[in-house]
Amino acid sequence: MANILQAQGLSKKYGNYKALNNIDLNLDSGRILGLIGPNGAGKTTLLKSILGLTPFDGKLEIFGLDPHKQRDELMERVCFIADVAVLPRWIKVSQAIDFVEGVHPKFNRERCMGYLAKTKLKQNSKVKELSKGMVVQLHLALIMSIDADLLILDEPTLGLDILFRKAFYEQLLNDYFDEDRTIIITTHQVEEIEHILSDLVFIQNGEIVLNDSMDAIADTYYEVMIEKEYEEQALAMKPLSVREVFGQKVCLFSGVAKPHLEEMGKVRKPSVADLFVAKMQGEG
Amino acid sequence: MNTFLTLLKREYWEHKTGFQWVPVGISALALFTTLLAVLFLTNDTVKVSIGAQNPTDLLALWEATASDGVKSLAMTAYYYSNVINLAIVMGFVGYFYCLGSLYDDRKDKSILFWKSLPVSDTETVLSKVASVCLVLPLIIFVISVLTNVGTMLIGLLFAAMSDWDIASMVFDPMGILTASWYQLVASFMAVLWVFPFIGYLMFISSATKKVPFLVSWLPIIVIVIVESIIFKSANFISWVAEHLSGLGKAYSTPYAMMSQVDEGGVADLRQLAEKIGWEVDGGWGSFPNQLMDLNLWIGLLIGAAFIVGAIYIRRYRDEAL
Repeated sequence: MANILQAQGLSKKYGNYKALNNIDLNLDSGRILGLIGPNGAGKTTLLKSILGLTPFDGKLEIFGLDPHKQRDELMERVCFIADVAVLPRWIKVSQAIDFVEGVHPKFNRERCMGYLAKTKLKQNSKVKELSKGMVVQLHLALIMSIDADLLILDEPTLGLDILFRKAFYEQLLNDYFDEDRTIIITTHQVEEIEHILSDLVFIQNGEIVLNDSMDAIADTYYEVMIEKEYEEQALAMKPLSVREVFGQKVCLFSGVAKPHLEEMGKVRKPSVADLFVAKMQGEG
Repeated sequence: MNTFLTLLKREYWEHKTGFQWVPVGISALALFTTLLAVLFLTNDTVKVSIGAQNPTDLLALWEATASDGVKSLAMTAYYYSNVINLAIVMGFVGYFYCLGSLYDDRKDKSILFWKSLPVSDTETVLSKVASVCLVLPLIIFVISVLTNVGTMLIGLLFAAMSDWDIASMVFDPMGILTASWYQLVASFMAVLWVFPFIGYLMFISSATKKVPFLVSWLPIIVIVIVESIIFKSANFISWVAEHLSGLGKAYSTPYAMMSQVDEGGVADLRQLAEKIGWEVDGGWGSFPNQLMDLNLWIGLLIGAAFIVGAIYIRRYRDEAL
């Protein structure tokens, strides 16, 4: 497991507005990082810095390369799908394949054809004739057929229905991911990807508010359905968040030993969504 | 190299309509009107004058008292004239191609797809320069050769339908070859003359945030107005006009070359140019003189500088905005 991404004091300002404020981040190969944050938190700015699409302050290295200055070398090893439907509308399916094959030394045509065979895409359809889901299928088939070391997905399933979304992530995990590859995903549909993530980063107002492996998170954060008689005791322990379900308080604790919590009620692993809400409210 | 060829193909795929079907359509239309003229108006006494080429010109040429060599040159000129329609189409197609070349993909965000692949911005921009400076004239050349052949076939049909024995004059493979060659050379010469404008338009296309068409005119208008107010002169616009007159030089030179035999040809041409108001210099009627014109080379340097600027902007623009 080699370190592939290193950010130290990464900042990005637009006038007085700090889109990224002193971000430190490290990522090893073979991980799947979920980058979660509210709109305008700086997710896209962070991804665009990583992709060399925007200048930044501070230190940022991907595979030891400065993404802004050494972008051309970097793009041999990095693939990305941006959050907007970006395949050119005029291109035909067959042309898109020919193009990527012509410019990318690590593209595998057979693999791509294999992926496309599972879809209803026709070789001579133009992108503008395809539904949004089909465009994403095409884009994903192209990208997954490239033997890249780092794949960056910015809201890849935006606007797709649940069947597409589920198939998308299943395919990504089963057909593409292995220990040599690394994936960074941002999305609003946290609950759909939490089971595939190995690492989690919450970002808010340009700052990282949580950065841990999913294993560490599972050992740190517990959600407890508090029995009535322990309510006061639980609240005194300063939970991260308290919400009410059927008149019963559900408290989210950080860094409290599990046996201790089990005395007060049923303990379970919090969902990433609940953790996210708790963290955002706590910080904001 | 494979990358660059793929990039050229990409441009061709995207602009197939403008690069191929529009000029094919225009040429086909011109041939069709000529054909109609031949089919319905073949009459020794009626002067046919519609269509791109006027078949009754052939009769006039046949009647003229001149040597076979001169008549063959005149036939070559007749075929060469097919280039004019195509040159106009190429001008329009090239103009709008340049304006959109580095803007359209930013507008529809597909630039994020192109930029997700290992293609440098230098390669991308140069592939677009090559598309408009090399690929487009070559496609136009192929179409013009086909048009020349079509013109000959219609001429032969005219010969068969009229009572005149002009088929041997119309059937002129060498003339068609020569005309095609001139069409190719003139097109590339024209590209060299307009190169500073190609560079300028691509620079605007790369730099502008919106409506490249309007933005492309703005600096020109501002410079002309400011120059006329401050310096009370019009050097800038006359430089532009002189450079654009290179188009006239490029496309008219083959006519001059074909009429060299009767010495008067070049003189006629210069007279005509003067009438239009163009300054007549040694470039008229001579490709070598045009190539040795310092102004041409200054234009090429200006165009190259604009293209470097276009690459720089595309490379370092802040895409997060």
